Amino acid sequence: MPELYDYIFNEKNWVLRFNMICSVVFLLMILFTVVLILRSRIYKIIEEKKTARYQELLNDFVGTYIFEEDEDFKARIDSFRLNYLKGNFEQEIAIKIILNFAENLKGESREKAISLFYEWKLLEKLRAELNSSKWHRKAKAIHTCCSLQIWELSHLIEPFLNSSKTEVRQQALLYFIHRSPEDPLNFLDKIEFDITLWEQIFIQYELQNNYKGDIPDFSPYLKHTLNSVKIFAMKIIAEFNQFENSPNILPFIEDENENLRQYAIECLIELQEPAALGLLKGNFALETSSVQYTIIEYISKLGSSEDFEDIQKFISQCDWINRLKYYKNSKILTPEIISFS
Amino acid sequence: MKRILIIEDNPMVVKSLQFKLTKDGYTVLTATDGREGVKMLEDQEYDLIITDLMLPFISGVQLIEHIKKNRADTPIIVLSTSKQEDIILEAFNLGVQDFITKPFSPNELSLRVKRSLESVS
Repeated sequence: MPELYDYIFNEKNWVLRFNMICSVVFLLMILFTVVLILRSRIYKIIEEKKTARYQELLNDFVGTYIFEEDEDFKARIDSFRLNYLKGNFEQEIAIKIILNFAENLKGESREKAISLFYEWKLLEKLRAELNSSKWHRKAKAIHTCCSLQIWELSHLIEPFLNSSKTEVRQQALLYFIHRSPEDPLNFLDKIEFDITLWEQIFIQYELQNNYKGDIPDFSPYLKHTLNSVKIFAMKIIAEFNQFENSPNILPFIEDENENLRQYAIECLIELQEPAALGLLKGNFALETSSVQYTIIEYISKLGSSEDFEDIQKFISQCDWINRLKYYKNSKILTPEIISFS
Repeated sequence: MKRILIIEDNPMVVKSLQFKLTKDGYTVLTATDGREGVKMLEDQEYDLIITDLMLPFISGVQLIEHIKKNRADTPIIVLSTSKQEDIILEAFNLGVQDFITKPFSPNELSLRVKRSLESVS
């Protein structure tokens, strides 16, 4: 090493000296990086082993607790908590294991898994996670609350309905859909920001696939202050075929918001409600291009060739897409009328 | 003692099944993917097979086909989510004995296992 030092610093040519210094620096950097990678890899392996060992221990305990009906577990539960659930790491794994058992089992076994969650006083841990500054911890905690049906923390989850972080907001939406079996969408009253298209799809999917309660009347959400919620209400009214709500949708075809008018017409098409025909024909000339397109669709589905004739005089002023749709659809309808007459 | 082979990729489900069936007095062996399942089937005889339909490497349906070709008498219980309707129907067409939806009730599982084993003995 001293020879190398002398060799570098006694070199007269500065270019060579600079090159040698750079080489040594780069060599040291490479060595440092290799050591760092090795260290993190070893650390990760140790952590994984520790987690696996702990998961095994918890798995055995929870499994035995769920499936062994004869043993008296009260003392063992308390002792396990005091000995093995001291830190955050251990409590996080315990929640994960209980959650997994509860998600894969049903009936009495699931109830037992959830009861263990309370016996181990893990509610406090979830409370702390919900107050955490990290969004992924919050989202995970809300998911746990939803899966284990922990409704006593709903007051802490409610503000997340308006969270700026999509993942947290989605978990909160999911939680509240399952929270109220009679009125799964009552959380919409607490929404202050528009629900995105993806959130609408997400809520609808949950309602159709995972929600277990009765499907409620969705018309109260047509009175919501947010247009996105009104649009969503129209979509699910159509999806769940709540025909009795069509009179509540009719006023929207004269709303000043273009999106609301368009979705209202689409909803009426789905519900096969012909009552809007006269009004839509009257408004056709004043409508925007996309609404005109939907009106032509409405007439195709629920009107007659006479209705097409009524709007014919306005078609020459429409854009080419609507003109094309008009001529295509009016031709489809005419032979039917002829065959019936 | 009756031998049961569980082929399932979710370790928690395996654990739950193992706990319940061992408690019921069966010898339970497990495989976590289709390939391992096939290997275990080639190595030993089993009285009953419980398998998932969505498995890594070899799908549940392919696995059932393999079992029916090589060990037609061994009863099979499919353990899967109720949303995989078309695959479940395909599995029944291949000759599976029974079907359990996830999440499952351990007591229901016990009864179905008992019934399937009785049906072949």
